[in-house]
Amino acid sequence: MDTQHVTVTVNGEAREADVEPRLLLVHLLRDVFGLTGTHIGCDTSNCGACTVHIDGESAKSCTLLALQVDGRRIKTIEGMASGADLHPLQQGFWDQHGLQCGFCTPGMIMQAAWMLERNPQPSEEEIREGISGNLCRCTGYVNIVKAIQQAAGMLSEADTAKAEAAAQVQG
Amino acid sequence: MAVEMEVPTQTTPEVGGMGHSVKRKEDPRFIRGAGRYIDDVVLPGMLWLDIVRSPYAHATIKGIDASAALKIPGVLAVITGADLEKAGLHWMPTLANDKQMVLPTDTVMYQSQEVAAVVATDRYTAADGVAAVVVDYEPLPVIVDPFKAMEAGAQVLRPDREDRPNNHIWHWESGDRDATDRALESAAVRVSQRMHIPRIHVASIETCGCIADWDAIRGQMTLHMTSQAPHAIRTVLALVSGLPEHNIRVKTYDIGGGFGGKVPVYPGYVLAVVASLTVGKPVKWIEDRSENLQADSFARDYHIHAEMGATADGRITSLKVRTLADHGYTDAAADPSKFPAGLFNVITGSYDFPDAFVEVDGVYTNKPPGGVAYRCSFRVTEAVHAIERMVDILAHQIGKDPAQLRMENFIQPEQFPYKTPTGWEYDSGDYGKALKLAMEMIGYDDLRREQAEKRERGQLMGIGISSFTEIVGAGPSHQFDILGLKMFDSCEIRVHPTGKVLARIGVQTQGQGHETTFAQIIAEELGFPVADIKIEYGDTDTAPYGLGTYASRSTPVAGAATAMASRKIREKARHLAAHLLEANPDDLEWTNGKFSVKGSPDRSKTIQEIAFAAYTNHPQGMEAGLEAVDYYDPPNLTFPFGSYICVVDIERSTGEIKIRRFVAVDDCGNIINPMIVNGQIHGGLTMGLAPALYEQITYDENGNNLAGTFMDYLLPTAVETPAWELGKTITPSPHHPIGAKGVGESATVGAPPAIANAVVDALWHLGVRNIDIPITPPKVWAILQEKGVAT
Amino acid sequence: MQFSGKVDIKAPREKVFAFVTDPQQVGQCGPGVESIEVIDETHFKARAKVGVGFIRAKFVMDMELVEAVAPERAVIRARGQAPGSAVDATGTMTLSQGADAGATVMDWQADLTISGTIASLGGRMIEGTANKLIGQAFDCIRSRLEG
Repeated sequence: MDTQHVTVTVNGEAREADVEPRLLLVHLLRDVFGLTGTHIGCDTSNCGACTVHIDGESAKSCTLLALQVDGRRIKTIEGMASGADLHPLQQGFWDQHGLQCGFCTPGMIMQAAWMLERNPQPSEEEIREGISGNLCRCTGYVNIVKAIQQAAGMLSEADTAKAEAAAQVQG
Repeated sequence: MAVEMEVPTQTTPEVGGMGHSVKRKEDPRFIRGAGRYIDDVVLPGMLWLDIVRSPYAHATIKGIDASAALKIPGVLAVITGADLEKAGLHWMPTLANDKQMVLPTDTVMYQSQEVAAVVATDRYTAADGVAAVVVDYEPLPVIVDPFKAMEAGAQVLRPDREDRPNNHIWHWESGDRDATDRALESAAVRVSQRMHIPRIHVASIETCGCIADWDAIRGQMTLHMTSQAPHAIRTVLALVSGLPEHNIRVKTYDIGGGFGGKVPVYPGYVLAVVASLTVGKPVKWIEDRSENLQADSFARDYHIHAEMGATADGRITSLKVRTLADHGYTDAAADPSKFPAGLFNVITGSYDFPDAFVEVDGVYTNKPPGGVAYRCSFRVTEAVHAIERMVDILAHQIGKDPAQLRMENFIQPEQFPYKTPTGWEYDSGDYGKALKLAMEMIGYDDLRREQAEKRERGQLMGIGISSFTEIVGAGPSHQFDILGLKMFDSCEIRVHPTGKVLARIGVQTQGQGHETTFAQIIAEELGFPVADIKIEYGDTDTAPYGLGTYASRSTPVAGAATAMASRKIREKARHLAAHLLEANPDDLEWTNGKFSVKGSPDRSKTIQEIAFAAYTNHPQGMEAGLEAVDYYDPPNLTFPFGSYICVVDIERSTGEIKIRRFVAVDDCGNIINPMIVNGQIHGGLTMGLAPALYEQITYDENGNNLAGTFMDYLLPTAVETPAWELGKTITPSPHHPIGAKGVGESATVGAPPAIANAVVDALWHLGVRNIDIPITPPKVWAILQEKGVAT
Repeated sequence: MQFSGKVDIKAPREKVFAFVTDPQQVGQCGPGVESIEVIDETHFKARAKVGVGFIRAKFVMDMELVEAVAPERAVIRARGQAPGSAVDATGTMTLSQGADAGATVMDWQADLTISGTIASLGGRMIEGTANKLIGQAFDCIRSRLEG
């Protein structure tokens, strides 16, 4: 089958490939780029295991074609930590036992990150709504909610600290 | 509100033995997306296998034309039943000693059954090949209803089973039929009820798959796969394929949920093996979600008729249960050999009464094989649902509070060990204590008052209780085997010279956190910090033989083996310490990870010092090293229990059921890691909510599966799932080395009847006795319409 | 699944009968038909593309005119497959004299069995879709005969 060229930025790194037009984004990430942290759970956009960010928006990569993201910025679970420093959501999931088998976890973290960017202090109900497109079969969601709450707290403390530091510099 | 209970600990948090909420050792890889699941594994030269599936639920195959598929560039082979027949591989044994087709040679038996396999260079080309294979079918009449399958003159679905003249697979019974009949006849009160526990699917978020890798030069078959029972798979593969067992290696990776669905051997695995043997390269097969939901083994599908007798004031005297078990076209249940209906005869539950009789008949239909667990130990969920519904029906019938009726019928603490009328010996329990705690936590009496007031105003509110007893930890070898393999389990521990530990276990983890909890058992027994202990599993070349993880057997069986292996090491360590301290071994005492001389605590050796000495300074006549292995054959099963209370409000205009509160009090004996135990209960409760209100695999009259995607098979999301409230009591198992009972499935078993009882409780005064699960809004709405209370 | 209906056609019975028993003509009105290949007087093959919900499938249909009693009755049987899906159908058309001269009343019944992926994944949309497609087919027959 004929191929087409696709160029994307994945976790800050420029990547390109020649792909069949029918190749799904999730297969581009997993099979072509070897980023296997993004998982496939249902093929119908119901489970959210394949959730990534495209230009900062949460998206389910199992129902997008690779060609649809040509020229765009993609962030996957592999891009969440900075070296040894975990993202507050990763820390929250670990501290609060927000995962068991771990299969839904990358998608859950990516979705939660997008949600917290829009709503930094969500209520429990808003958290539950916010992750309702991501299915978890192991945890019953209780500790996922707690993990996201912990991360929201950590992010807000970090913001406060940053603001105070900035104020001191100005002062 | 959760009641945090103090779990006793003997070790410091740094050591992290039993009772500590140690953060999981496996999580750092998962939260970074660095877990390694089967579809993440890529081997050099790897090919892809995809499967042609039948559109018909029952049809004759008149021909298969693969010519167009083979013309597609990249399609390398098409495998049919005729090809397999030449090697005698077209049928394989099921775990229940029936036969299952790998590929059919003449007849397909269910919609989406495997018909042919296409091997190609990549997954897209393999799918192209599948679409190009033309199969000529002649449709046959379809039997979907198990009652019709049992009718005289019904078409015989399995003519290959010459021992079976009709669709009846087996009859199994337990208890005393005559005594139960007599007790029922003389009972002052009799209640009876039909119930269907429908087909459901475990639907782990990771589907099943494998890579078969045949190395012709070395004569080695490596099967990388998603399996809850790798050793059993290796032995089955050796028996089926004729390959020598030492040249077969089954290796698992991180597993994205199991719940029973990754116990069986599916045709896809065998096809990948055959394909790799044929083409001499690694061959990967990963099923998609629709294949998973349509063709993998199912759970439940029990049609139950129960009858219960009692005295006029509600003392239960007898229970008689008849059940028709729909197994699909073959009995592929993952039950122990002697138990074709699993442990369904634990159906007398938490109650003390003398007479019970249970009979189950297995039947073939044109559906995929059924009978695996859905996060439960061998048919316990079906049993618990039936008894807990019956107890509630009895209570309502005689006008007694369901909590009170349970309290009056519970087996009392002093009656343990307790022999049930169907032959089980419960190890320990205090059922009244658990129910009392649940009632306190939820404010039971206030809720009953509120319910009465609301009923006056026409509002529908219900309170449901489930006081379940589980039976887990299979099992003692005199009763329990699968295909002849006794259901022991194992642990091998090696202590390295520098005091670091490698332990390998015969069970598998699918998210339960074995890498952490099994390390905690060793930390408890030997005093090594959890951080210094590595747990390995899932590689049959290195792990000791074990029957795998399902039926909540990891902690009861392999957990016991781990404690026993640790104790063997501790005994050797005592002799090493005696040598180092120049003392008599009997004069040493073990505390906090060291041996010290009785009466002179400053004369001591830590376990780390002893480990070093095992390799550098062992006494003459003693073997060097510090290792042990234990194969644990449990003396009995364990019997976790609990009491759950659910409060629902029913919306009269829509039939929607809102779970306002759900309190779960569990008793799983001694607790290894409270955080993980709570996590298991949260998940189990959600997999109890799911079949109670949402999940069901239904078929149309032609045998088409109508729940083939997550758009139609409804897993609960975070929105439907309530904020579970947990409580605990602790009643150790007297026969288990660390007093633990197992917990992974209790909540899945206990939750559905609590929810169903709550809904019926809200509607009983309207004349509603039972609603089969899943209790969906349309079902409730139809009832509200019929009773004239819909708004 | 069974469907039935009645269509008033402003054309004489003989003309209607000739139309519904001619593969080339009646075939053009089959749902999603892309091509017709006539094998003999009573057998033909149709290729059709049908969509149910989000699923689209290309079917190859073997059609047979199993009964033809001029000018009042015709029965067509069809069996077709698409990857993972199958359709078995029987369509019966009974033609009677309409109220006006030169008009025909066609009573039709369709018995339809859908199997496999489309039945499974199309789920509850199938009956509605099938009803719509069959209705369109008979409307097509009417409009071609009247036009």
